[in-house]
Amino acid sequence: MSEEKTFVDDINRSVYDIRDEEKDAYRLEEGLTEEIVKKISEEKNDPEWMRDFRLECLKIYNSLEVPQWGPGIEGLDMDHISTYVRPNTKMKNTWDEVPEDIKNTFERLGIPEAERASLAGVGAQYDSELVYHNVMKEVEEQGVVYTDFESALKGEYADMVKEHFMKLLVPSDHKFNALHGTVWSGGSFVYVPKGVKVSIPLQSYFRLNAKGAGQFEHTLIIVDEGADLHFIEGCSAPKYNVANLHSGCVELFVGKNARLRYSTIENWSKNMYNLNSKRAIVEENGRMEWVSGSFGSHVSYLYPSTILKGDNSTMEYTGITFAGEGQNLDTGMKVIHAGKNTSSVVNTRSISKSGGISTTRTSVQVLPKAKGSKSVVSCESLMVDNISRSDTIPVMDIRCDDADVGHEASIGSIPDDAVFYLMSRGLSEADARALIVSGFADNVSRELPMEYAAEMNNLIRLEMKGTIG
Amino acid sequence: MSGNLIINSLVPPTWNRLKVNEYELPLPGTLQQDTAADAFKTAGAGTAEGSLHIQTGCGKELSDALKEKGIIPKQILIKGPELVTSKIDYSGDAADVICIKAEEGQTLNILTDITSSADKAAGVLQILIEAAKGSVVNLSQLVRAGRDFTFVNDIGVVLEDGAGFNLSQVFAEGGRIISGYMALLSGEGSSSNVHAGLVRKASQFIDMNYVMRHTAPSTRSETYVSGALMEGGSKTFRGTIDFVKGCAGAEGAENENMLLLDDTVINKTVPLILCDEENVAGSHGASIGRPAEDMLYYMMSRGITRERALKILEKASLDSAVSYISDEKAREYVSSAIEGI
Repeated sequence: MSEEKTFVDDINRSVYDIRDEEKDAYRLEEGLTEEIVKKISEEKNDPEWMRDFRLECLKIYNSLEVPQWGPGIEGLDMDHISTYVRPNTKMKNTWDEVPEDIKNTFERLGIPEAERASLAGVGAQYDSELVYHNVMKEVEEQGVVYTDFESALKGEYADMVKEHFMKLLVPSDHKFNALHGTVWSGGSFVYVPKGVKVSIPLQSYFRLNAKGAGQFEHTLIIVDEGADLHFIEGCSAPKYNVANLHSGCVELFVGKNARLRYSTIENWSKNMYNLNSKRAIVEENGRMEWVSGSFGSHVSYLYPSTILKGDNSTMEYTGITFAGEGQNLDTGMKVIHAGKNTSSVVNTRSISKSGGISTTRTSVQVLPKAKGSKSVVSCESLMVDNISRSDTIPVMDIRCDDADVGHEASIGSIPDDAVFYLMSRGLSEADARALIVSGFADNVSRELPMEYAAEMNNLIRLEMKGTIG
Repeated sequence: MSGNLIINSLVPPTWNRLKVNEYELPLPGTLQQDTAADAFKTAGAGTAEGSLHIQTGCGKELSDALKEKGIIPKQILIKGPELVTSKIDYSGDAADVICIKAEEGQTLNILTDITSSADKAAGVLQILIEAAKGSVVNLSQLVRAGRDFTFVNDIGVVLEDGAGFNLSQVFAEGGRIISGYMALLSGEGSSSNVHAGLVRKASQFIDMNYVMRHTAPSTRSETYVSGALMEGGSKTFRGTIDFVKGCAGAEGAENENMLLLDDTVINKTVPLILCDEENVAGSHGASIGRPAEDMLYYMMSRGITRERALKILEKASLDSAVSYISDEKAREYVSSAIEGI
């Protein structure tokens, strides 16, 4: 059994653990100073307002404390993080033009194949910059804008970007929003015009290859009135023996009668501090759907939040977190019901094994004017062994009598009788337990496109191998 | 000790902006003592000096502050299962630390009825209970203090093997109520059952912090809160089921049912489940909102006005807790006391 575990882990982990030599890359010195921030701004040829914005964010960053309520991040020392590493290539729009080693990495991760099979557009970021970006002609002809963030900042949509950039995730919210505002680099800008329905998903994939570096991509998506989009985000990194940092920001604007689905399968390496922020604001009759799978990282703070601003707007959040050895994953979601007749449905699952710590942290706020609002939250946690930990920390703040809020949470272990039943049907104990855990995660896998659901189930199978014996 | 105390702390804390991580209590500079101890004496219980070192729901800062203010713990001696009704009326700022020991196999029935003849004052009642093997302690509490009165109700219980603690609380009146409860389920097969009913209106508030800490195998806890909020009333309920390593086979359940009767209210619910042990079962359920229209419609179709129907539902929030009082005399006493509400 132990041989099988080693064999399976080695082969499959290597997909994510490919390390490219950092040759010819431009890397700024470690730490966070005004000089470094000015250099990043210069490197990126920022407009003046952005340069000023970065410097203002630095002041905010220095004035804020590290959060005291979550997992410890003592192992993260900003003095030893390089905030900008640029690969030695410009962004390309055909894979053949991407440098061989980088292309091979994305090939092994299956990105070009996924693009051919099931995506309308792909952006691939490598360290601090995008190396590949392409979008289907048919989608472009619909008027959909999908581009790297830097191009958007200076091109035709510059005013739109300026109007929306860090307006939802304001730098003063917390220290890591301020950090992001200071050193952000890369990411995607998407604009879906009124009434346009993008039938095939777009995807951005973020790969952090550099040792001891940070990745701070910014994703801004505006789905205009009556439009429809499914956006997929993937991320991974090879494992190093020093801390890496991911502090991205995702800002989503969902217009009147529009719908946006944002799916993420996160599989950062287990030396990663994943301090990521995501927020959506939804207008009248709009709909926001989150599908979130958190598998990697050493420490995660991740709580996609939604402001249901418009009357009759809705939100659905489906998430799974899998915390294994050496991981402390603090994940969850937040929703604010501000408009009338708004509704939210939340379904989270968490799994802890091999000493992993999983915390599900949620908040539901119903404001006084949100008459007729409804919220249903379900949090289920599974403890796979007795050396792990699982906490559920929900808050409901209800300030409106005409609201209907339900919450249920449960925690438990894998039932012996279910394992016994599957073993009596010929499965090994390990396979039986893996199957039960996969079934537990079914809430997320059934919401993902088939290829991604298969990847997620594979990740669960990998994590479960070797949990017994 | 004139600074504010940080009590009812959420462990572990969550987002600060939600303002649920703790309650800040301005404790009066001077506090008279023995208001509660004398009430127990009047009820026929014996008293003696003696203290217990038990963690409470309000937390260490309150316990330390009481010690610093010279409040001497009093041990209340109760012989048997007969109901001891302690009528505690606060005529000024006062504090008591009451210690109760239930001997092996003993059953105790205790009722505390809290009122206040002084309005702009504060009363602190800390009750520390040690329940020996196989004992059962039934504590019922009725709070009907004045609308400008601040009442701090702080309970700590330690339960040995097979011991049971049943707490029924009826928070009917009282301007500001801060209620803490901690059950340390350290004996195998021990249990904690809490049923709290509350009505908050006319800008009254209640801040609750209830912790059920399971440290021994096969322990059970059940916590049920029902209530009604209206006219600017507000409530924060923190309920924590804490499964500590070694409590295999433990089960904990929390349930909350809150009626919001107008849009001036604030209801905060924070139901934590902390789990450091594999073979346990924890669950939480909450239902928060206005009364179901079909229920109101049914009542109105039977000739009851909407106003009266809401009043009935408000009262039902308290009755739910009353119905769990196991001692018949105590149940009748509380039921009759809240009749007019």
